[in-house]
Amino acid sequence: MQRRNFIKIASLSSGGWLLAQIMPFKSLANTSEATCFQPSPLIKLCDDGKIYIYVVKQESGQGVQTSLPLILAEELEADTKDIIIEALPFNASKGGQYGTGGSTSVMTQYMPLRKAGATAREMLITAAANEWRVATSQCRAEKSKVVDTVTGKEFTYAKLYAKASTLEVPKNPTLKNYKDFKLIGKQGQKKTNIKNIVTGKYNFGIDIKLPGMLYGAVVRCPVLEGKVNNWDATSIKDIDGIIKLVEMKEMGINNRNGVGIIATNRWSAIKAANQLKVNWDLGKHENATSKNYSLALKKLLDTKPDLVIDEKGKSAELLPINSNSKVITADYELPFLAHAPMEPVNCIAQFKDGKFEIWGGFQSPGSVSNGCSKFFGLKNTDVFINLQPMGGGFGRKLSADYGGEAMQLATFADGKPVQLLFTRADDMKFGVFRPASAHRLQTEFDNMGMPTNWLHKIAIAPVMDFQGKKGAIANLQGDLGGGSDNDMYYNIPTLRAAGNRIDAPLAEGWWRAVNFTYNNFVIESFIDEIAFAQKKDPLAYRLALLEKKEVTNISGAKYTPQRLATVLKEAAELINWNKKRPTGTAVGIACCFYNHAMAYTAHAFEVTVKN
Amino acid sequence: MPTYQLEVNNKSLTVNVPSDIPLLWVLRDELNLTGTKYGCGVGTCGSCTVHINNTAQKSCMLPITACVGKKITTIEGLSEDGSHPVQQAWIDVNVPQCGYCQCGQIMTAVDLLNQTPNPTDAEIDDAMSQVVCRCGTYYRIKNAIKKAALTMK
Repeated sequence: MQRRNFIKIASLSSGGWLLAQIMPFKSLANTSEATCFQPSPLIKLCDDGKIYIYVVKQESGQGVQTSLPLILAEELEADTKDIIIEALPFNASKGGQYGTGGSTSVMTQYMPLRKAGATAREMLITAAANEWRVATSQCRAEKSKVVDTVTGKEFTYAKLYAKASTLEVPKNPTLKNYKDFKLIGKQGQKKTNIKNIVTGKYNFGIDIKLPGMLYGAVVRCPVLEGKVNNWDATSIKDIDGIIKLVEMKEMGINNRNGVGIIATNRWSAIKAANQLKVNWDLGKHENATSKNYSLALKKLLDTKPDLVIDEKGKSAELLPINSNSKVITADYELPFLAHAPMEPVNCIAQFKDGKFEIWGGFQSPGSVSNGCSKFFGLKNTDVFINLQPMGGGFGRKLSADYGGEAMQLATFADGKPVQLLFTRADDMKFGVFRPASAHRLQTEFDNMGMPTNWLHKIAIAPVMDFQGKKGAIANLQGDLGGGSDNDMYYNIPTLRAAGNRIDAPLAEGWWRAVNFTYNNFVIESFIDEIAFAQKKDPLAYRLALLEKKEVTNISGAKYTPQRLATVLKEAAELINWNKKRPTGTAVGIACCFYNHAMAYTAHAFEVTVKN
Repeated sequence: MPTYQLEVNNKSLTVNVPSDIPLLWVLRDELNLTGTKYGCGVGTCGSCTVHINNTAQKSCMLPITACVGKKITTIEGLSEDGSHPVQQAWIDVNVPQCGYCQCGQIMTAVDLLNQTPNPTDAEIDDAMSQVVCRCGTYYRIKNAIKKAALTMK
């Protein structure tokens, strides 16, 4: 968390780290006098034996502080007891792929991390071979040492750093054969920091306390885009410890207008936020209700779509339904959803000497510095972010709103740090929600009873309305994915996905698995409907739709339907699919090719209805 | 603000806080015992579970005035070094994902095992339904409780 630990990060090439300048330097940490060698921005090898591995992806429970260092350590042949894993803070001037979302951290970092580890290992082996005047092929690395396999002589890594750092960096280091892996894919790896977690010593953003820190809360307008008319400070006059009430403004980061409260203690801030009387101009969404919104979504299913794409993701027309064929239609509706991470969003901000320093958990720190700096007339480099592990993210912490609100509060705090906390009620009311949607699925059948001329119509307010240009038809494109069309995993010869857009009365954001959460649910539900109508077993029906060997989807990713079939069969076997069950007990099965992470998934449930 | 004398993790401590403040915020903000987490503030998620006189209780709605004269134990007081058999089982089974709810889970599990040394699956489900895990570590929690039950015999 300390600024002094900030290591200079090299710029990035596509998908990976460029190697930093090669030179030994005194460790920046003032607790250590070790001389360190940094063959890559992600590794620092110190002559006191410590090996630092830096993680730029953000930990939210998915395990990147365990998985990513492990990948690097595998190639480095480091003794795991020497390894210290550290997160890095963020500043826009340094760059780096900090953004963490879409289930892609391991997939995108796997090769760059292996190469980084292999680079360091090869340089250390070369340094040792040069000392011994033997061929590098005679030397092998293991447990933070290089061993001469003929003489049995060895050097610890720590003794080789000075020499290794003068060598040329190999451009294409040899990666290990997966058969020789000791860490990757092996059972029994413990989560990094697990002992701190179970003893209560693991600090999330909410646990940070800075000297002189004040506590913030915000009373937000109950309606999106509404404004503050005025507030009645006397309504909280009986509460001790209130320092200031300030007007909070929309910043274009999906935060709301409101009234900020700065207090000496958290309980007073929370109480004041519950008690403060504010007079609002509720604006154009004043009369929005769940019921009206649901009706509007469903009505759109009957209208001409704004956008139609075919199975190749290309603009298309709706195919006329063959009036002679049997057609099955089903409508579905899904609600707005809050992410509800266990750690409600929170952030500490301090504004001093015209710059911000902030502390908190963010999936996309770049969005905080880019999204918020302009509001204050600053550059994105004027925001320094001390990143903390998150108590769950699920996409909620991709949003910069809570960072921006904490920064606004800090500008009123005379240079003191202020910690903003969303209460759980705030979290449920003022999140960036998974969009509500209505769906119509419709299909004809070929003479084998398999679906053809499949149509998936969706009515939705696109998430992209809240991330880019509001109201653009192209924003719908993202919502037509997620298994619904160009990434459909079933072999259905003719597909159409059609979308109608609507304006949402709530801010939206990406929610774990994004468009799959709604599209996959309705597709799998509809497959059951049509299998039932065709009097076919829903498992066998799915397997019949997964017979193709390989498909290249629109994003260029190769996908193997038969792998999905294998996973589906495994799930069926585990639940004992064909077992005869008593009345009132039934099994269900579903699958998905989750293309964000190239993951083949299936699940099966046995459900019993009581009474 | 009034002064209260508390016994937390076998230490006697004095705090100056508003009379209606819940124990949770006293532990976290006054005593820096941040292992006890805020999750909902309305006594439903269980992240804030501590022991009051050796019984699991949610601290987010428990007024400070109700804690005076009672023995308060937080996760930091369970063991110095994570050596309590329940903590050890949590490590062995590799329970946590994000970890945010786990101190509340552990405090609840310790109380369960103190009262019911050999809990059945139904007894585990019943006791642990008091604590929500958004990551979904419930199966590993159940396995860890069974493992701890064996070592605590």
